[in-house]
Amino acid sequence: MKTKKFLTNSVSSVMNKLLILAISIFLLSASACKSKKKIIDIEEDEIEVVNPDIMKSKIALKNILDDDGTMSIEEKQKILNDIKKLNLDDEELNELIAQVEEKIAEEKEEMERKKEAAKPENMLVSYFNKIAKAPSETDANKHIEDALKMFSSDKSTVLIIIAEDEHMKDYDKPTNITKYLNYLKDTKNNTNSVNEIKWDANKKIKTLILKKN
Amino acid sequence: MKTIKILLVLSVFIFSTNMSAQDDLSPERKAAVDSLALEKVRDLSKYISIIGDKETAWSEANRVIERTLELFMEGSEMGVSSLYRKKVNYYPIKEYLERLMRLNYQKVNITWFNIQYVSDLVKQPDGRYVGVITIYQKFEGITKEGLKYVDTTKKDITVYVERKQTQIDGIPIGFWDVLLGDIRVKETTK
Repeated sequence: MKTKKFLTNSVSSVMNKLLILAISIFLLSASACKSKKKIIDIEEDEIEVVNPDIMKSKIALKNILDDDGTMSIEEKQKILNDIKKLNLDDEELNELIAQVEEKIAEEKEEMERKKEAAKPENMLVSYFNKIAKAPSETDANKHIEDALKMFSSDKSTVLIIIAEDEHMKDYDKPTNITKYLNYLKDTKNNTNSVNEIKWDANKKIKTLILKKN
Repeated sequence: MKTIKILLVLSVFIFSTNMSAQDDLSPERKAAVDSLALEKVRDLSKYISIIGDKETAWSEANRVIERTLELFMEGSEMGVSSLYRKKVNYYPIKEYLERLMRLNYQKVNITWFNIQYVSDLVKQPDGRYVGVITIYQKFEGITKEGLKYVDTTKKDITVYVERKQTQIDGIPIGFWDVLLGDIRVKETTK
C-alpha cells in the first residue's frame, strides 16, 4: 500500500516537473518568436531608410556640391536630371536637389558672363576702362601693352564717329591705337563706345571704329 | 540761244544750291563739331596739367608735349602773364610747353575751368569754321622754400575747324580737323 502511495506521489511529482518544463518551454519559445518578429520589423524599417537609390542620389548630389570645377556643367546637369527622373520622395534629397539646381544656375550665369566678357568689343571696353581708371602710369602702361596685343600693329587705325545721319558720317581726325590708348591714359576721357571692328587675316584688329556717346 | 542761256543759268543755280546744301551743317552735326572743338581744349588742359606736374617723368612729359603740339596750328603762340609784371609774353607753343616742364617750382598745379565758347564757330569764306573759346587757368606753384605763387588767368583760344577727306581701307572718310591757334591772355588776377 505504502509502495503504491509512493509510486503515485513520484509520478505526480514528475508530471508536475514536466508540466513546469512544458510551460517554460512554451513561454521561452513564445518570447523567442516575439523577439524574432521585433528584429524583422527593425530590419524592415532599416531597409526603408537605406533605399539604395536615395543613398546613391544623395552621394552624387553632395559630390556635385563639393565639386571644385572638375565636373562640367553639362555633367552636373545630366546627373541632376537623372536623379529627378527617379521621382524619389525624400526631404533631404529634395533639399540637395534645390541646392544643386542653384549651384548649376550660378555656374551657368558665370559662364555666360565670361563668354560675354571674352567678346572682342567687350574686351576692348574693359581695357579702355582699366586704362582710363588706372591708379598709376605704370598700371595704365601695362593695360596698354595688353590691349595692343589685340591689334595688327601699334599703328592700327582708330576712327571716331562724332555724328551721323542717313546720308553722312562725321569723324574726328583719324588716329592710331597707341595714340588713342595713351589719350585715355592722359585725359581719362573714356566716352567712346565700340562701333565696328575690322579684322586682318590673323584675327587681329586692323581698324577700330568708335562712336562718341 | 535764249533757251541755252536759260538752261545755263538754271544749271548754275541748281549746282550752287546743291553745294550750299552740302556745306550747311544740320544743327545736330554743328553741335557735334562744337562739342569736338571744346573737347580738344579740355584735352589741352589735361596735357598742360601733366606737363607742368613735377611728378611727371621727363620722358612722359616729352611724349605729352608731342601730343599737345598735334592740337595746334603751326606757328601758334601761348600768352604767359604774371601778377608781378604788366607785360604778357608770347611764346611759340613748343617753347611754352618746354618752359612749363622746367618751371622752377617744387610743385606745380594747373587747372582749367569755365571752358566755353565766347564766339561760336562761324563758317569763313575759305570754308573753315573759326570760333573763340575762353578758359580760366588757375596756376599754383610752390618753391623749395615753401613760398606759394597763385594766379588765375583768363585766356582766349582761337579754334579752327575744317572738314577734310581721307581714305581708310579704300573707303572715303570725311573728318573734322580741329586745330587750336593762338592763346591770348585777357586778364590775370590773384
